[in-house]
Amino acid sequence: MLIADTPFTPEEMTPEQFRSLAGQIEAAIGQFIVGQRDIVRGVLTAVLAGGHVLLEGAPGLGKTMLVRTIGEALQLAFARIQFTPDLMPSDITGTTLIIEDATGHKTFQFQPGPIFANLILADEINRATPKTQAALLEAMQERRVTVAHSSYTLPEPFLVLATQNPIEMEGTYPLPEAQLDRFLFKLVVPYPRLDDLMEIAARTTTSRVHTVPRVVDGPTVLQMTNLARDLPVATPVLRYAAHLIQNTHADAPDSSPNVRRFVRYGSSPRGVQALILAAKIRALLEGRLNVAFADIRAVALPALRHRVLLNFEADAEGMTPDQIIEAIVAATPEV
Amino acid sequence: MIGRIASRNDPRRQLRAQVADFALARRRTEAIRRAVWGVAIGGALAALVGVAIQFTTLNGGPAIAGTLGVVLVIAAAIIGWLDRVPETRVALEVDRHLGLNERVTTAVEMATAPSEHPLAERQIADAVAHLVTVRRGAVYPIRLSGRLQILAVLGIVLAVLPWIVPWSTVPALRPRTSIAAAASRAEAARLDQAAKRLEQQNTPEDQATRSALAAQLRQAADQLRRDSGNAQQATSDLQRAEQIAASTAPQTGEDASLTLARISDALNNSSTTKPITQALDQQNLAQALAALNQTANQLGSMSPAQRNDLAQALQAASNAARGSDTSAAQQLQQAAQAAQNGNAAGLQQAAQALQQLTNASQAQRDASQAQSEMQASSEAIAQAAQSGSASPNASSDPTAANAQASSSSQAGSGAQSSSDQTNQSAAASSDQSGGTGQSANGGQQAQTGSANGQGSGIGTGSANHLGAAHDVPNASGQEVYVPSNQSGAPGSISQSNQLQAPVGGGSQVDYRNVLPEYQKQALQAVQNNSVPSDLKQVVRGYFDSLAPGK
Repeated sequence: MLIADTPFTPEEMTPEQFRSLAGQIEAAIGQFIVGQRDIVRGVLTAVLAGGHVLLEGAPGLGKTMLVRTIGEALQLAFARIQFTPDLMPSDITGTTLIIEDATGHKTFQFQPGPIFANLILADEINRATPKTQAALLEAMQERRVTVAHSSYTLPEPFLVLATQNPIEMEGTYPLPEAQLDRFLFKLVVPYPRLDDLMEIAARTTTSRVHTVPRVVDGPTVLQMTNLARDLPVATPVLRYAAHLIQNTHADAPDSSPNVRRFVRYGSSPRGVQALILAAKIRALLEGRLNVAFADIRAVALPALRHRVLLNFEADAEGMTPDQIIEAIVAATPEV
Repeated sequence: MIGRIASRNDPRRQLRAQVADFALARRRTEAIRRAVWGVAIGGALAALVGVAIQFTTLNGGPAIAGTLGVVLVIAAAIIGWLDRVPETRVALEVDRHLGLNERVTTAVEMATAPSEHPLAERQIADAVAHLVTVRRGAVYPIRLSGRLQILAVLGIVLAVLPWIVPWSTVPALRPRTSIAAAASRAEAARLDQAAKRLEQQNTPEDQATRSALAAQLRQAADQLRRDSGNAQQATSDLQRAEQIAASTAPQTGEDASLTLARISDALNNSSTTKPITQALDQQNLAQALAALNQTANQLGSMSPAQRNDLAQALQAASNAARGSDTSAAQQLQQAAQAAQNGNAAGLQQAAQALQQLTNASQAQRDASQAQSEMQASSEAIAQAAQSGSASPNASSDPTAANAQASSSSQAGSGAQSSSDQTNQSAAASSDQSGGTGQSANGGQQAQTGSANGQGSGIGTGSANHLGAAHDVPNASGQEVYVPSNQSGAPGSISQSNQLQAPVGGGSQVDYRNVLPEYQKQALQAVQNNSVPSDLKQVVRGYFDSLAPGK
């Protein structure tokens, strides 16, 4: 049941309605997720942009709960896949089974896997083998799955929200660059503050059961996504985003000394797509009908931190991708 | 009508109009800003021009500097006005100044291109709504930065500075024009003083000439004041004045002083006329005339031999004067005939001749002095204009003898320098190998002469040019002696008319061309200085012996 209080017709989503619905979604999530407003905004931005999100954080920070709450608020079919080292690709995509009908006739029938959902929670994605991780690749990019020479289209919207634990890296399989590049955002979940901890304790240690209000449904999310894609972007802003991406490469003419020293490989063109899509969402959430330089700067970190690969010298110097990207943003002129 | 209203309310049209307004405001602000830069740069350039003008003789300096500054300001303003930037850039600047997050930039792009965005119209309307209440001055204010204001004020101050700084009080920065002008004014004062001294001389025989020469000196001084600062014009005017002064004195075949010296020598041969000779040597015309009168009175009591002796002396005097003043020569000849005939009244002819020659000599001396004064002024002004230093001796006594010529009593003598401020020295020296004689005088070429002989003569002199004294030794730097046929020392002199290569870079001149000048200067020197009569005769005899053909 939708509780959205702004009546609209599916064909006439307006920016004001977009902003209102997004606010309601955030409010609904906020009833269950204490603090983490930036993470909630980031996940929502990525979801509305139609992109996948990689959430990195220590255990117990609410990553799984966040994804589940979003799924319920958006009334999206939710599936959780716990990635373990023994997980097989068919465990994700599905397999064909021999089914005997009432007449005793046996046929092969495709049994879809958990990936056939709107919102996939790939928990601890770095624990599965690369082979299993690769099974997710095609689905994330192509929105389809191929099993036994047959392709099956995934439902729309299709969003993968993956989590990984940065502290127990032993026995894990770091995500390959190709798969990392398919995530729109990488969000680092911080440890909650003191007052947030107190709130968490107060909410979760009672017998009260909370239900997540359902704000919108899948088609509405698609409409919101389509509306955001229609937002105009001025050429100077596009040029700024492209300039940022270019400056992540060590061989770029305007790259900074730090980039030349510490970056092994810069962002792919998917980085500029991520910047623009996310900037559009942010512009709409801010109540604007155009993308600004500030929007690009605001989404640069989550959009690029997993796309800029550092070398060993950066590791030795303790340089992080965030520092590199912040320096690039500061050094790149708007015009 | 409705179409027009709709057109006016069209957000795209409104947006374009708003951006055009901002663009116009930008051009206005840029024109003003660049004009202020023009004030700063123009002021600096005008200051440079002003300083340069202080050191030249260019007229209309303030007008030139002011015009340059104004032209720069106007040109800068025009360039600023013509600096049109694209609409997109104006939109970006508007967005940045007003914090509109690229609303206007996006709207301008949507408005100028066929829009494929469903939200384009709404976005344009949104941008228009944000600009409606914005004043153009909020984005492009006519406000100059503090730095620009300071630069403009500095430019104005610099532009005015060259015209208010008292340059003449700063010795290191004294402009050349004021130095040359100061030299001209100083020389003009000096010429006035020379004119005054000339008029105050108590010699009635050359009164008219002295008055004329004094007037010429004053006229030259006035001309210098009018030419103040223009060294070239001043020098040219002084040269002209010198020529006029030269023509003021009676023109005789040779210097009248020399003629008188020759007459004196001729009269010295007779015991009857020796008193006259002594008086002439002392330049005492009255005494000479008195002696002549006494001789005339005694004529009647003279023996024929004495009258003959007197007549011969007078005839020799006539011969001596023939090359210079034919009327004086004729008068002396008539006096000789009168003496022969015992006609005492006829001896008055001789007195008239002596009077005439004395007057001419004094007048020529005065003219020579006036010429020397003018030449000294010309050199001083030229040097001031060249070196940029004011004449330190502008008020010095022009009669001070700055040069000294040492002469050997044994052999000939070098030329003495005249007693004027420029102290022209004519050091005629020669050595056994035929060296060069140099005269160190500003503007005069080194003159060479050659004399081959056994003896040597000392020729040294010094020349002072506005305080800069320097010695002019002979070519070899050693003292050499040239014997005279009238000296007590044995020896002979042979002269070569062949030009030899000068030593030390001097010029080559036939000595026959320079000898008269040297002789004239030497005789003037001995006349003007306290030199014993017999030594005066030594000098006369020396130059006579050098005459061509002897």
